[in-house]
Amino acid sequence: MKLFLKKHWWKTLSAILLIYVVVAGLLMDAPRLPILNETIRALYFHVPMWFGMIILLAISMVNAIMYLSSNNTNRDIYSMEFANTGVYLGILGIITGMIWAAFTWGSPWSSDPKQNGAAIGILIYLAYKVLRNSIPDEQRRARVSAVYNIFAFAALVPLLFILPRMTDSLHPGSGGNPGFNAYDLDNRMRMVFYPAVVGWTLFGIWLTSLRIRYRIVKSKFEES
Amino acid sequence: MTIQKILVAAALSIILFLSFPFTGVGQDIPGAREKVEMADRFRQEGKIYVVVAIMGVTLVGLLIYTVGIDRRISRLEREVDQSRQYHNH
Repeated sequence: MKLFLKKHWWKTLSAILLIYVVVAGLLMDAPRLPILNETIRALYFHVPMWFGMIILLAISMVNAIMYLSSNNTNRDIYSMEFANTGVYLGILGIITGMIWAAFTWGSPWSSDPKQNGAAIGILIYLAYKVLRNSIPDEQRRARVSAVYNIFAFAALVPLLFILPRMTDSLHPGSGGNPGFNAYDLDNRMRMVFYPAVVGWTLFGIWLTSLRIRYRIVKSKFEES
Repeated sequence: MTIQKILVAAALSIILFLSFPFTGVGQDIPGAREKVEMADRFRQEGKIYVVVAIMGVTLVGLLIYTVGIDRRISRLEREVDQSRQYHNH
């Protein structure tokens, strides 16, 4: 992990993919759908925020488990910073979703089950930050927040992926049928959407890596 | 390290595999070209390239800035390691 964060190839890949996403996302043909019109292209930016969030929060949870089994302080730093970036992407996802919804669903917040689930999920992770700040002892903070992190992720998955599918939702792929079938995602969009997911996620990891390295340098500096 | 590389490579190839259009170009709803309004004129006039250029420049600028921060942190890491070695001797 430590070595991976300092390698450069995946950062270059992220940059190339993001430039491709902006250029191809705006220029390539997109399906003509009523109501959505050209805003369909928002999919390349709004949805990758959520994919990035869930991947970063999963990495955060894995690092929380690894902290509990190893007691390595760096694992706690990884876990915290991946959660921070994940929450940040989630907030961007909510804001972009609200802008998009205001134009297509008629209101920024329609209490759609997925919107509500996402909001609750973000609040759970904001409580994680509050919890961290409220425990002064380093060892205790790391242990308690690692345990909380695992439960937070376990609560997030049903909130985002299970509960919205059990009722009707304005989001595609909800109300029984999982997303990404022929009607939800056009083949032309696939060619931009999946690179967008990889590009934005890698960019999120890149920003996280900067914060992790800053924290580790800071802790070394405080030791000496 | 090698396991990590394999995992990342596997994930990337799955993603690339998914993004390939297998069944040819997607189809619009019949009659969509007439009924659904898209920014066709905007594109014909070439104004879309203005948007692409502005978004591209913004993105590239932010990426360059990120690379700069990355380098600064690398330098700081080297300095801290060096001074720690110095203090240990």
